[in-house]
Amino acid sequence: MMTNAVEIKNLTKKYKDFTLDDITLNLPSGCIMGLIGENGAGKSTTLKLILNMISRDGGEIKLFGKDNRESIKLAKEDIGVVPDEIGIPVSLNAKQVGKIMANIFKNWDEKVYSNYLEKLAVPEKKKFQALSRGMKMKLGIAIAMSHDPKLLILDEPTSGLDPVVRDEVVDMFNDFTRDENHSILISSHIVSDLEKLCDYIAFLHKGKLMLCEEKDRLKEEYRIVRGSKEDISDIPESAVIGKKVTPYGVEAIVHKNAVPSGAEAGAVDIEQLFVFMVRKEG
Amino acid sequence: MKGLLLKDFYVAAGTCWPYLLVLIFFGAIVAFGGASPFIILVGAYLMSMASMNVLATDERAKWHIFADTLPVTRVQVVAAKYILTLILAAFSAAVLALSGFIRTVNPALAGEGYTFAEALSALSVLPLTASFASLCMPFIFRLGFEKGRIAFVVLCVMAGMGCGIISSLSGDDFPAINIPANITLIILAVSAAVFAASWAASTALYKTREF
Repeated sequence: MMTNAVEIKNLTKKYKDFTLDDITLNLPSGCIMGLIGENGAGKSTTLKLILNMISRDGGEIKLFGKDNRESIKLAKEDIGVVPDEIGIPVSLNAKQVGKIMANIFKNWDEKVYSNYLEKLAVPEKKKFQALSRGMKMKLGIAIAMSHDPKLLILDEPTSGLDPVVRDEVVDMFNDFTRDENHSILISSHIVSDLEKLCDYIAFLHKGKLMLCEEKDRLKEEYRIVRGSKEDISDIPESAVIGKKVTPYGVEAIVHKNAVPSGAEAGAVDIEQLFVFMVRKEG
Repeated sequence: MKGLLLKDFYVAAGTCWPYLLVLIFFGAIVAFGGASPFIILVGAYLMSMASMNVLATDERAKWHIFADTLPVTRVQVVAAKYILTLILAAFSAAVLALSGFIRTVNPALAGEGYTFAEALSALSVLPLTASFASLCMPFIFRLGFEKGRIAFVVLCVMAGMGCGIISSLSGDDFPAINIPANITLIILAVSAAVFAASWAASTALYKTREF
């Protein structure tokens, strides 16, 4: 039976000017889920709630089947986190960080950590303040993956990395999920990375979950149709996910069953789907 | 917990060494220059402030947020800072005691009428400096260092005024400290109570803080 690494049900968090509203999603073990959303959509808030870094106003969160508030310290032994900013004090170097983490994580593996540092070309003795943003992120990834975690929670882990390293890191994450007990929840603006990596995609917009679906199913279910205004007007409004009007015509993302015969329809990518949905919602 | 303390030790070693140099310098002045232990209290006070320096460094780096993603509790994060304060205060006390001891056996200072007992009595002021320093920690744990440093500034002004009052009362820039044993006990008890209350308040306030 497939178990869930993360289960979120009706999760709500209210701030003065923002509400994360009634989020429900499940991340099955062995899978990678990408959280996509514009700045301020609620991605980081969701991740913080999962880690119990902030208190929720309603709903449930389960990590490995247990309420995250009851056993968060234990659960964090099995979670590797790469936050958007790696909060290592500037005077420390990677070697010292390794010694600190060895005394924090029960399953810390010094050898694995050294291997990651070597693989990612992170200097052991250079102070954190002297590292580039990309290098800091790589150190964060090495920290997150060196204690045999079952779940990785990654907040914009590939931002600041050059395309070659980004590709390597994406491969590392893919390798990580070869073990069916390993899962990843990742938020990123770089939708192309998520498209390469993820099994599931969740769209957040203004604190609401617009959809949470298997990536392949999304790509299978929708088509992008190009044509004149008249061509598109034949499509029932309920089947249109979003559209973009330009002086040259109209592009619309529609359910594949609603594509008019003879229309110019192509495969949709996740970025297009997200942008069109957000535009429709306003 | 051990990991948190190790991290604080690394940070303190990397950023607080100027405090250490000042403390050792003052200790040497007391031991070899014949100055009163009062001067070393300034150094000791600086050392107790070093834990706050570590807090500020953590906050600039956003360690407090990163630590929240690790298998450590906020109770442990607070405890590490208070233990660090105690360790630094104890270290100051050791330097002070050593300076006092060297002074009493220093032939060049023989006949100055300064006794080892007097040097030791100055140690009783150290818990006070540690507890005094701990007064602003609940503010920092709740509000962050940027806002909490207002308490820090007030504390520094009060410490400066206190030193000024003691100097003016004694008529000496660096007066001798000779505290009776019963007052020492009261100071110790009050210091311990303030320190414990500060620790408990910081823990309660930090537990519910949202970043």
